[in-house]
Amino acid sequence: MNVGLYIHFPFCLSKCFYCKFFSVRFKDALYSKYIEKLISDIKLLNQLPEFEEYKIDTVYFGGGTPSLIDIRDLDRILNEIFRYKNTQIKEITLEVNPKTVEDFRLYKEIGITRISLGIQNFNDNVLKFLGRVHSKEDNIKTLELLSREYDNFSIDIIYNIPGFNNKKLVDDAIFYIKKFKIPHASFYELTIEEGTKFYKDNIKIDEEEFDYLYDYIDMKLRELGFIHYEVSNYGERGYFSIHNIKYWRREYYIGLGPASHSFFKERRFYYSYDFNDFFTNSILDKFKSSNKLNKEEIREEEIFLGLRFYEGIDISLVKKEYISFLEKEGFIYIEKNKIKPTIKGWKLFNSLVYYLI
Amino acid sequence: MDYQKKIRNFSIIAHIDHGKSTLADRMIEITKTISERELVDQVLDSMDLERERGITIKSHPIRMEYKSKDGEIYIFNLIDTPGHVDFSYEVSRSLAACEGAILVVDASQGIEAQTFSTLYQALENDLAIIPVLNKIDLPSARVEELSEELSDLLGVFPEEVIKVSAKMGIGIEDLMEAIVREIPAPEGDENAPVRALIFDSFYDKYRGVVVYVRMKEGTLKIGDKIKFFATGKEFEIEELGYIKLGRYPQKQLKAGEIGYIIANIKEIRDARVGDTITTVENPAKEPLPGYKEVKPMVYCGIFPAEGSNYEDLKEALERLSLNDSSIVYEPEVSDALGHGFRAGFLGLLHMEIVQERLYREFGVNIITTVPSVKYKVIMKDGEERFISNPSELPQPGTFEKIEEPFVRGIIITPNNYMSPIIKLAQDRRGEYISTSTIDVNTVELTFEFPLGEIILDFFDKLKSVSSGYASMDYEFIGYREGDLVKLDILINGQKVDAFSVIIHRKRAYYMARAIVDKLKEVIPRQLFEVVIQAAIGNKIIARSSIKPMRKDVLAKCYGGDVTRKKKLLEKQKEGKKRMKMIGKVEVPQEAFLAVLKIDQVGG
Ligand SMILES: Nc1nc2c(ncn2[C@@H]2O[C@H](COP(=O)(O)OP(=O)(O)O)[C@@H](O)[C@H]2O)c(=O)[nH]1
Ligand code: SF4
Repeated sequence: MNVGLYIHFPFCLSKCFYCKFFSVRFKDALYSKYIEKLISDIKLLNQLPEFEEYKIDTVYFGGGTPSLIDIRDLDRILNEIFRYKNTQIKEITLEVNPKTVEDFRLYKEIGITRISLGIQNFNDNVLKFLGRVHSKEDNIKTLELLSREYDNFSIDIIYNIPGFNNKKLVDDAIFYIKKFKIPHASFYELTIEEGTKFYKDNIKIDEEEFDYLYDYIDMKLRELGFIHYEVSNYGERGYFSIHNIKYWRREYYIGLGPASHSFFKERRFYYSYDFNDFFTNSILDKFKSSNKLNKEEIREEEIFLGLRFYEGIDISLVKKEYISFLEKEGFIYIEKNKIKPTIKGWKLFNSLVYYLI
Repeated sequence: MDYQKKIRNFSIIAHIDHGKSTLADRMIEITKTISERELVDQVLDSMDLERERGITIKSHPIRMEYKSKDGEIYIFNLIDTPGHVDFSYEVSRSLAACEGAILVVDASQGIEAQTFSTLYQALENDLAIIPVLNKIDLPSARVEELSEELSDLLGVFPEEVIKVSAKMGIGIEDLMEAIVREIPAPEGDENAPVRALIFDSFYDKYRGVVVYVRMKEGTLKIGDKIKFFATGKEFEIEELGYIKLGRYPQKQLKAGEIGYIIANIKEIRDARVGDTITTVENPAKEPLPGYKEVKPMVYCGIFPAEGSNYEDLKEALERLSLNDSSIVYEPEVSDALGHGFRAGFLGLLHMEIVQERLYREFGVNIITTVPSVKYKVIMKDGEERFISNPSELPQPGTFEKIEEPFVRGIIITPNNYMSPIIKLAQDRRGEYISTSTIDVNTVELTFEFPLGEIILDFFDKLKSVSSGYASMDYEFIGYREGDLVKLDILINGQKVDAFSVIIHRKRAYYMARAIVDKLKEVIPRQLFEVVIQAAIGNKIIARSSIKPMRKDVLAKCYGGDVTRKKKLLEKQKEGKKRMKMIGKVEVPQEAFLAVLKIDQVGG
């Protein structure tokens, strides 16, 4: 059996205005303590009987800005993972911020198989508006370097930025996707989260614009041969994120690092949004203090996670009452005992789920 | 019958806040009816709800012994009266139990228009009235002027108006002496066949129904077999006695006295206010005059809401009706709201009180539908049907005509509010009948109204156009044909029975617009467009629509964090409890309330 490994790296150069992830400004002392604890947890995983029958097949370095990890530390971490006797790696993804990396060859050498690049936008004013530290030029330069070394990589784009010509912004992104033959992209609409600068500034999102853009992006990327395989993810066949798909399919993953989440043996557990919890509790402590989900919780998860994925879910999982209505209204479609989401269904995902649970 | 010479039975007539309770406290104090320690402020009003609303709903008689200056000890029976038009029949029965009434007027405010209707009832019952000016300690007291006014009104000398300060305890003795002097002692043969007037009753969970009576004739003893005229039911007296703060059992109650009776009566309906008690052995030929069966005037559907269920509601209604004989109810099934009841009330205030008691005393949450009156539908074959639930109205064309209940409304108001009141009354299809002058400042206006026009918010409106001065009493005068239609509300094509109203055709268009607009406001956006229509029969007369949601998704499920999704789901589930599914559309419970609150006439 397989298990994914998610590593949360909680440091950034500065805080973007929309960002709700757990990350702080890079600090040396915290950094080394973090790396040591991370490695000790991986060692622990290597020794535990609980994990014996599982093989790590995907690793995902997320953040924060994990491209700030010193390459030697990254190498140590990976070696510690590779030492895990059952490892059978299919994918190792690293999130990279433009401007932080010059040489992708080194990543390739130490075993990173996939890069996810935080482009966010190809417009300097938008990047400034979002509080990003890189420019359009940095983006293009990084893409040039990256596409020379990797053919399996992805970009993140944020869309529906208030006050901009969003169709144009999307067109730009599509242009570069074509130009650099980018095989995977995540398009996230700007969301205003509590506690962010945007929230304080009372920035508002235009829902009708979202409605339009979501359809538009879907159409454009399909034209390029992409598959819209999750609410916000598009990929050419063969380039989907193997690690992320585990989330929708409810396959197991272990999360290490502050604010990381784990799902293992039908238990969910996570480190809280601070350093202390991570520094004082081993991943085994976390596992042991968690509870197994009950049947109903599992069913609900299967619905609200499974429907985010284009393969959909088994029809037997859901409440029958509204199925035909939802199908008629074009929120879902049915194929061989499976309920699958439509674009319209994804846009109103929360309400859709609520009718089916 | 010497004992009767020492009895004074009276009540206090006063506008809210003029000092009725404070004065009663002073009387209780001065007669040492209860010890200082027991004298919680304002003994008479006991229900919380009454206190909050500043009205008395239930009467609590109290017996006091007063040692007069003439050296004799007199028995004072003070009977409290409810203070709202919904309960005007109860008021009339309480007054019928007395020989006199104390009219208490706040010396800084003067007599309020609302007080007149009770005062007139007292005068009609031939009660001796003792005018009292209270709060004379206030610097703003207009003692001279108001004494003149009261003397004009009641035909007494200004000097005869008793001046008191209930708060400071000034003039209380004068008042006590006036009661002895002015209020006639009761009469009635203690050896005649028994006739006892029931002026109140309540349910005690240990003893069954406790009946408050005014002995008009004869004598009742423990063990007597008694009979109620109206219901014909018979019981045996287990206990009887006087009422002070608690019950004081006696061997007998004689003509002229006031007291309570316990006779293993299980249902409050068996001891109806206004009914006459006699004995089985030596029955009186006739009951006392004035008994009326109180009939519900206002009906609405009551359905369990958030966190409550049908069984809870049923039990609560059963228990509540043990001590409220005027509420009637029967099961009802609504497509939109499920299993519940259709209940009838004396009036809107009574309805609100019941709703609030259901919640406070029984913890039951409810949704109510728009209140309605009882319509008479005459079918093509001459059959008459009474309908209190709009959704039961037969299809147009299947019946000959609909008749609606009419009332005669008597409005007492200061002169200067006459014209806005007449306008208000006409807006409510009130037919002007007459005006008569009460005194230089006050008039009495008589109208005939369709009851349906005044049940919702008429009283509030009346108060607001008259700065709170005007008051109205009404009585049922019969059914009259009306151009009435049933207004249905459809949500995405589905009729929602709970929103249906029967309404005058002229008013239907306004109401239709108001309802569809209100629903548009309170129903949240959904996955799909929601169309709200108002229809008479098959004809749509108003429409509004709620645009579908455009976005409802969390973009990210970052790093396998599902906690946010779960929280969202929990929130949705919580929300769901407060929603009613109508077809595919989720309608919040507030929507039902919001429709109740719609201003029927506008403006
Ligand atoms: N100054 C003054 N206030 C009084 C007097 N009698 C009653 N009050 C006050 O008037 C208010 C209403 O009195 P209350 O007895 O509750 O009136 P009720 O609504 O008629 O029962 C209370 O705040 C009393 O304290 C009085 O003689 N003088
Ligand atoms: S780089 Fe990423 S994690 Fe860091 S602040 Fe910006 S959005 Fe947040």
